[in-house]
Amino acid sequence: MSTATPPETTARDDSAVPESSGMASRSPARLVKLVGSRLLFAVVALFAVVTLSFLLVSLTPGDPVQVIAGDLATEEQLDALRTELGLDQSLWARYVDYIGALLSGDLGTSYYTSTSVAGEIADRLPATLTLTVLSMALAVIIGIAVGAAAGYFRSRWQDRILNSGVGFFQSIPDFFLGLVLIYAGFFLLGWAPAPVGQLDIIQLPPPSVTGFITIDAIIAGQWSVAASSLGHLVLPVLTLALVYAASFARIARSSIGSALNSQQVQYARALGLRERTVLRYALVEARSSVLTYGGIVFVTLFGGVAIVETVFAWEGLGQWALDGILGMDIPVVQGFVLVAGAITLTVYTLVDIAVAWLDPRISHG
Amino acid sequence: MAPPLLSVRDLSVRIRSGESIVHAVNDVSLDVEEGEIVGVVGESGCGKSTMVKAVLRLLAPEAEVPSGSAVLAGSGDLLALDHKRLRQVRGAHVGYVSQNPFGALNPIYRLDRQFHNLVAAHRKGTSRGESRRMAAKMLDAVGIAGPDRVLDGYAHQLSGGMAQRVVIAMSFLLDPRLVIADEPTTGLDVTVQRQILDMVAELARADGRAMLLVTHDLGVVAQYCRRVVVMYAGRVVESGPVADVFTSPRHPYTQALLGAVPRPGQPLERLPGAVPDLRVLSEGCAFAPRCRSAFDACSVRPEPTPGGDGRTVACHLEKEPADAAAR
Repeated sequence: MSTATPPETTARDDSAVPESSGMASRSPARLVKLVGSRLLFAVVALFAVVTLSFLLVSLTPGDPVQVIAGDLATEEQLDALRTELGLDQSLWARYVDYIGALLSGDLGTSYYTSTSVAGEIADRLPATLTLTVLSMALAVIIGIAVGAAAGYFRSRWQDRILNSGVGFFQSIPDFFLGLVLIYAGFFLLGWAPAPVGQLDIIQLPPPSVTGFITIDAIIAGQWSVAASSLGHLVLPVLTLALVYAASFARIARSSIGSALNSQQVQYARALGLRERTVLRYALVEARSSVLTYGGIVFVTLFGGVAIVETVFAWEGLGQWALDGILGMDIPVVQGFVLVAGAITLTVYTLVDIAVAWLDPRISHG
Repeated sequence: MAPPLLSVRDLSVRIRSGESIVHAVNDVSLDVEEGEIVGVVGESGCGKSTMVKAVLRLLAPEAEVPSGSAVLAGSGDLLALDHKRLRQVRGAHVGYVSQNPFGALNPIYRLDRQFHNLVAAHRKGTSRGESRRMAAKMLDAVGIAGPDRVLDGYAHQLSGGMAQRVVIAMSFLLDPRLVIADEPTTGLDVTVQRQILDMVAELARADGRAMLLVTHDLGVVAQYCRRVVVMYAGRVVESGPVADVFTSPRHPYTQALLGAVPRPGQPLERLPGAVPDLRVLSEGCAFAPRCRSAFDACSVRPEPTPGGDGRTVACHLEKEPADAAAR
């Protein structure tokens, strides 16, 4: 049993000293390679999204011509409309047309309003982006704070209180929360403006420079308009932020909670590291999953913004797409899917790059 | 005689698990004297790991310590310290080597930074250069060639043996008087296990450091420890000097445990039965259902009884050998 080796032969363990330790992990070359590979993938994926969305919309049951013309239209009227919209051509011909137009920046025109889809998107995207980005930012702040606190106090009374709050906001539909907030903030308390869009009805929007009303108002020096637009943002942002903060808090709680109880954090405590260092150790371990989930939440939020936009008469992209879907306005739906797909891919690509950049264990060939 | 460096008394740990409560550690008492290596042995699930984690207050929130004390000479009862004092004791006065070195190291930060955080937490204002010099010296002492490359790298770039050496370097870095090593070589291959244990034992002995070594490997205890504590079902069944306990085990469980060590030319003794369900706190001796010598008195739990020769045994056979012999 006694096979003690003298200390000299306590073999020096240098067999596995990494060649690439140190510098390689965060070099500019690695970043370029990383971003390049991700962008290439994003472009291919975007093409796939465009194709799939075209097929999905075109093969959906239901005849747009019938919907547009109404039940009383004659067969001749329907045929004429079909020819006018190009729907009499084969699927393949329509696909080639669509892709060709897309490459020259033409997303088609709405069946109903005959307005350019690209133009509508350019008009409405800033409103929706303002709403989603601000909601997301607030949701992230609330979600991480609540989730981290709940994870820190896991299975104690603080956790139980926070958790029931999270459960409450998670189970409330966003449009209903929006209506409740309008009732309380506008009708009862009177501190929120009426839910009639991004500005009061009597206010004229500032001259468009960026398309973002608040920013344009500041550029034009119209301070009252800028303040009004911020005021109008409060309720819809709060609505979306509370609902999405709840689901964000849930994932933050479980990932930060498990990181706080992970072996490396336990070991950091065993070494007597300062509590804030211990917390940082836990947060850097949890940040990849929090970041990834943040990307997913943002994309979900972007897709789910339509109903809240409708409740607040926001005139955004979501509301427009919802009308398009109900009216089988194929170019509008395709335009929205394209924008949503592009934003989804952008967000995922950024998250992917950030996660790989932040985690030294991930390497890219 | 000077008081022991670490004196654990009547330590119990309960762990909530769904609806039931697991009595993981029950009334454990043990001492570690200055400069000695004490082994804690027992089967998996006997509570040895939970016990040392309780001493360092590293248990998960589901666990609670309803009774007991763990007095570290000069620092007081670790179980009663406020968070600030506890933090100062951990790492600086008591080192800890964890089971799984990869789990123990932070995966995101360079090792250099982790060593610096450790030093800075206990010696305010230590510069990065100074902590790096200390770390490099310690890494050299634990047998890592080229400490600089390791310090500039990340945990995942290390081999298992190296990672454990890094963890050992961290726990020895601030010169603690006591190191608690919780199965430090689990998951490493056998040759590396030997190297690591030799190195740790040598390092502890060289500086007169005391060590509490948790293991299920009796050979390790025989080779490195002065005294041994045998645990079964969350209790200490026998303790004493390794040479005495291993040559003349008095508790039937210790006898069975030693009998289960493979020896050339001898048939392996098998211990029938299984470890008891720790959700039920038995009235009698926890080992009785598996014990060959069990008799009537075993329906009452035997108290650990010091024998005067430095040995303590928790068994009724100690008091009534005649009665047992009559059976």
